[in-house]
Amino acid sequence: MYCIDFNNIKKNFGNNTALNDLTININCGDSVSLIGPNGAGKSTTIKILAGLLEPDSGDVLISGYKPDAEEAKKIIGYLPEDASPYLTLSVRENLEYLGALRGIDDLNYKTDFFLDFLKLREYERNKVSSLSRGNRQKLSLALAIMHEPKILLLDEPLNYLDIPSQEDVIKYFKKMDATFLVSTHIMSIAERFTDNIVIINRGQKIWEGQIKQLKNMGDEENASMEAVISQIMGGL
Amino acid sequence: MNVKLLKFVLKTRVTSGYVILIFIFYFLEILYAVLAYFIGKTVKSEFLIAASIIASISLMEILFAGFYYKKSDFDFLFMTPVNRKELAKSFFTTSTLISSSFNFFMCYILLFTEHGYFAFLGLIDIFAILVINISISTIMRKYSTKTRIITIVTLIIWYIIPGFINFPFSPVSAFTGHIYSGTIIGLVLSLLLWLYVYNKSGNLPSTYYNFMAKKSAQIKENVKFSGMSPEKAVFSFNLKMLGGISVMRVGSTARVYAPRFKLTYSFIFSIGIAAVYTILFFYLPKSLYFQFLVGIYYLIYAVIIYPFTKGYAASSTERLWLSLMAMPSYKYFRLNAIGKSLSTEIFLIPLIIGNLILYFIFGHILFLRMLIITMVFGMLFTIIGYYIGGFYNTRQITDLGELSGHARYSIGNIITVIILIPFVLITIISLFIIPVLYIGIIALLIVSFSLILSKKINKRMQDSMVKRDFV
Repeated sequence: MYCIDFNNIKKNFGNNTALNDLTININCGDSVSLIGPNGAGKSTTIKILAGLLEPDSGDVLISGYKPDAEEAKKIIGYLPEDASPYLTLSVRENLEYLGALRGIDDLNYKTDFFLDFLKLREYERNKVSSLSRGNRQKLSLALAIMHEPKILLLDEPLNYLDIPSQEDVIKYFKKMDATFLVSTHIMSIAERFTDNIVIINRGQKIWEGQIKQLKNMGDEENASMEAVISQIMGGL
Repeated sequence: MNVKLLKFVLKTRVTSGYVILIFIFYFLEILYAVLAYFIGKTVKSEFLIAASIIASISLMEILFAGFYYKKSDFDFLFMTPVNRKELAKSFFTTSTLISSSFNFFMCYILLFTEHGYFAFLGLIDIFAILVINISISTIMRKYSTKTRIITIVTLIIWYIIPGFINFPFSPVSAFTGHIYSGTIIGLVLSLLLWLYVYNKSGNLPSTYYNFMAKKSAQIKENVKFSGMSPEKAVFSFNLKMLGGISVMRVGSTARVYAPRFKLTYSFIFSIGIAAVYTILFFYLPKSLYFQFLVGIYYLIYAVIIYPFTKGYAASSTERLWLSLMAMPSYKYFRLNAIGKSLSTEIFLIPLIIGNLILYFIFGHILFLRMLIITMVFGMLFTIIGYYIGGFYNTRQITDLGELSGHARYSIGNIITVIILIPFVLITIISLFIIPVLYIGIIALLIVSFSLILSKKINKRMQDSMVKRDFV
């Protein structure tokens, strides 16, 4: 059984086709980067996997559950691009509020842990609306992972983070016993974060494989990985 | 003044049709003055009305003056090689020109407060007040919200004083029997402020960035959610504080404000409003006409607009990526809508008590009806507002930035108004006709309960919000 089972998904928004028969299957414990140009359907894919959007056709299962089932919600950690927590609440209140909504045990311990780990302690009483974009992203990351999810759906997770925070977060993710699907535009992040890549364009899968395969292709053609991906993306 | 630049700025703010409308307003203003020249007379009893009209329209002019700037103006237009000072002058002139269309709504007072001989001077007085308002609004951008509010309130009080007492030292005094002193004060002040704004206009971008700078906002007292069940956490979120997020343009451009108040403070504020409302009836002429008139206004603001916008705004600030990843949509939306409506009810308690007191004192059934309408309709309008916002509100408020014209003038907003009309009519008619009151209560209860209980409707609302990029 795949942990992420996304089969023949079609999704239209009016006349626009967002996903066209897209299939992505990810084994439990694997880390996969989802890459594609703007408007390729990456965010739609992640929203469907998170159970926020329903596909027009096709089957989606998260560890055997429908994505909008309560069982699935317990094991999914979802971070959208440019995530915005509750702006009127303080950093601590956001962590506690979402922890309470999720019914997390030892919430005080978890809250304190993430405040210290992400260096948010000095802002714990600050309203989110007054935080910098970087600190807001750190809080969003904490909110997405504080319930220790087994399936992580992350859209540009390291956006706005300073370099030390990026390092800390990557180390933390590597220690997690989880399955990752990470949407990103930055190859260096994909490379450090994940082992496999799925490239999509116009709602269709155009390449799937290991990062080292892409590297080898680049070496053969004496081109960067970005150049190889660009070539692949143009191939549809 | 660079006319080409002015034309460019004006064209990028309003449509050509609106420019024509401004000139139609100018023409009508002159028509008013001509009419006043022949029939105008000074009626002392109109002074308070004149001062109130000028004060309220001035407030609108001051608040709306910032509407003509966009974030992109400062990010791109002011970064081009165009002379910043000239560009800023064009913006100031544009906002004066557009706001001048408001002047038409003040011209009514020319007929009753000026001797006909001074009707055209009255037009100049009104324009001088406009220039004062726009200049103050422009200057105030670099100051804190608190300073801006204090200044604006002081200015408005200064405008309204001549309506109450014999006061020759305000620009508005020109319309309350002090033509010369009022005109001189208006002209001199407007000229000085205009010169100041023109000289300092090059600073506009820096005041914008100062305005946009993030300021620390520490919470004095954290709300504790730890140890609560999900249901209790949602209610606690709604009942311990009132808060909201809005894109405000009181300043050079848009920025997101996320104010929050303890429900206790809001309750005290509500007691103040209820006290003013209750006392008002003792001073009103003892005719049913006036009592019903005030009753209708009361219903529109306290029972319809406040509760509805509260619910509507609440769904604009939803964080689906957090809440709906923790519990199903039908459960979360239902809990949140009920929480919001309970918070509305707490806010309305002083007004309910106010109506009860009025009923005991005056013995009129009108107050009993208003009590019932307040108690039942207010809560239900919050629920309806929450769901209509979820289905039709086009934009989620997330971060710094501006709402596009598309978001503000969308078909969704028109649909919202169309849906609201029957509810508003039922509410107002129920004040006069008892069967409509019963029908109204039943209808609103059915609609509200259908919204909060139906899994299908809640799921559809989720789909609708996610499709519109509510995440």
